[in-house]
Amino acid sequence: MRRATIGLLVLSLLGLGACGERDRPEQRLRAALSRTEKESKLFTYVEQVDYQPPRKERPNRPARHEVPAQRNEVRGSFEDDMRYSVVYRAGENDIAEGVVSDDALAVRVINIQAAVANNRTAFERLGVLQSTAEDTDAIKALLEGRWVVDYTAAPPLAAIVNREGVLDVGSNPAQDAIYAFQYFLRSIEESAGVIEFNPDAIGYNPADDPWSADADADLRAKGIIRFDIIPPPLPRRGGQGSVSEEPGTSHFRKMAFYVRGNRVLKVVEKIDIEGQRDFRRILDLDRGSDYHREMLRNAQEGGTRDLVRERTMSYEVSRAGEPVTVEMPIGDAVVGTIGRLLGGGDEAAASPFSAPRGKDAPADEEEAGPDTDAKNSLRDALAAAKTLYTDTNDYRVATPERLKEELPELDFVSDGPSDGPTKIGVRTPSPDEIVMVAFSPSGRCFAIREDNSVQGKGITFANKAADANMCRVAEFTGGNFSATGWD
Amino acid sequence: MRNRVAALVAAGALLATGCTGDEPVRVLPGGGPVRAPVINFPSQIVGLTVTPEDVSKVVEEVRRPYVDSLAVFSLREEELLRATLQISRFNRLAKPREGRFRGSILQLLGSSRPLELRVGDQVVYSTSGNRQDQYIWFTDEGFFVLSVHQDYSFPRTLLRRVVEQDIQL
Repeated sequence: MRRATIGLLVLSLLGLGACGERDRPEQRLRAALSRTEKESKLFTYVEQVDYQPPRKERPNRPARHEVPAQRNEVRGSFEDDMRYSVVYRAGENDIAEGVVSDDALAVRVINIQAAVANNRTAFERLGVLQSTAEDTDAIKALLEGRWVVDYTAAPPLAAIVNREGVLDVGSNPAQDAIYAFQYFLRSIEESAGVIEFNPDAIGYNPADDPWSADADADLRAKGIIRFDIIPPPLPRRGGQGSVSEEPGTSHFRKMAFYVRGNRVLKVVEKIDIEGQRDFRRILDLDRGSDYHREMLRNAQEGGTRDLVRERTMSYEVSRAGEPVTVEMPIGDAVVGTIGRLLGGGDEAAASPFSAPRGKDAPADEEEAGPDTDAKNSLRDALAAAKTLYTDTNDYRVATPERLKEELPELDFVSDGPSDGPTKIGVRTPSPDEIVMVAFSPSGRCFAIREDNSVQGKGITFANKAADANMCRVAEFTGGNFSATGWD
Repeated sequence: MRNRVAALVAAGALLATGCTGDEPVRVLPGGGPVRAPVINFPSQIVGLTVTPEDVSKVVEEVRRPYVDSLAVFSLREEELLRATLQISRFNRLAKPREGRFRGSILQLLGSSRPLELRVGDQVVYSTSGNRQDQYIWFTDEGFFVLSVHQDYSFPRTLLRRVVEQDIQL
């Protein structure tokens, strides 16, 4: 009898009655999500990631790479499920925008310099594409900040799940925003249920609620109902001779949905390992089982079922149900082949819309070495020069003085010599061509060249052994340069 | 070539087989007898040539309780079959406004859970399999199954153009 009473009490604490009642908030939430997903709308997706150090690598598991602190924002509009547009903003800069209309994708890089600074790997990949792809004009136009339309490159209609069966969130914020509703539905499926927010419920603890200010906001008076998903309990200890299951993202996810009139207005999420209720008891109150202490330690070091990416996220909807028109920027666009930069496959993970990963991330195949500073300086310098070139179609405006204004942290000299990674030798042999060099303390001189002439070959690279006083542009000839990189 | 059309529409024809009913399906060649749907479909769409197909031999044994006529069109790029469009007109037993009725038709496709899309004002259900994508949508008068070969580069453009057609059944 006592056990039955406790069972009933637990159900009432959770706001759950009989089975049918338990399903009711989830059904109402799903109905609102389904309706809102299908409507025309504007949206703003914001993801804030705090710095996360690399975590312990585990056999047969994805690398727990470093995640830099970053604010990613995607604004966009949906006319319907096959016509939409997005603008990706990283930190304080708009980076790139994309428009999808049926099978077609149009992409434009808004701020080349900020885009390169945001994700160097993605732009290196584009640089290589420019040198190797058949459609060099399209990639070149993209790097010059012009619209490029690919008539068969629209992202898949549904998000692609990774090998672990989860949506790969974080590598391409634009993609995450496009498929946000699939992510929400999957989060509900991975949860232990959905409850209606009730700060007066006996089981409510503001310490477990990242949005506890809602308790004083009188949402009801505004016609807003908040639904919360319940994270599943941590896995139990495995029986004798069996291995205990590891927790995953779903155990650390808190997510709330704000619904008015059967429409979703806003969704907020916080994924936080140390905010998990059992872990918080250990950290705040020094209470908890040894089993949970060990699990916490493991999770902090990367011992989780999937890659737990701690973050806060919000997705706000406006003008839902009102007519929205999305049009392709066909007028001055270059038509070409650019691949699926917005969603689906590896290209989406290394595109102007992709977020940076830490320096030891697998995508950044180049490890930091003695020449890294010289190479990075050259990439930054070329990006600055391209900004000037885009305005005039003439690289000769990229003088050492103008480049210094663009990149105050580097020094520029005409031709050379470069005696260190932060001193760049620069020469513009023609309006369409620029060559830059930087000396590395390893005793090598690195060069980067872009040639936009009709006979040109895009971005090419070269390096050679040199003394500091011999690291000059004049030391490199066309034959030294390779399209595939410095190595 | 006719066999390929038959193969492409087979899944659509099977939509009817899982249901009970006594009347044989009436399969109507293009411009057929009295109960044929009058379909004002263009002869070209997204550069594809549209041709009404006679699929009577494929489905004449099929029984179904809710369709009183069916037409099939092939959409070709020169000789290459890119897509088929099956148009089925509901009879008076059909309940096209009921979600369960629509769900039962979708289930009979036998593929994974369909993806629900909005194309313009029309809800379209999408499934994939056997090297083709299928798009299914309903009106009060009937339902449409557009099967598009996965090698075709403009499936969504084609889908939108077909959905936007004012097809009277």
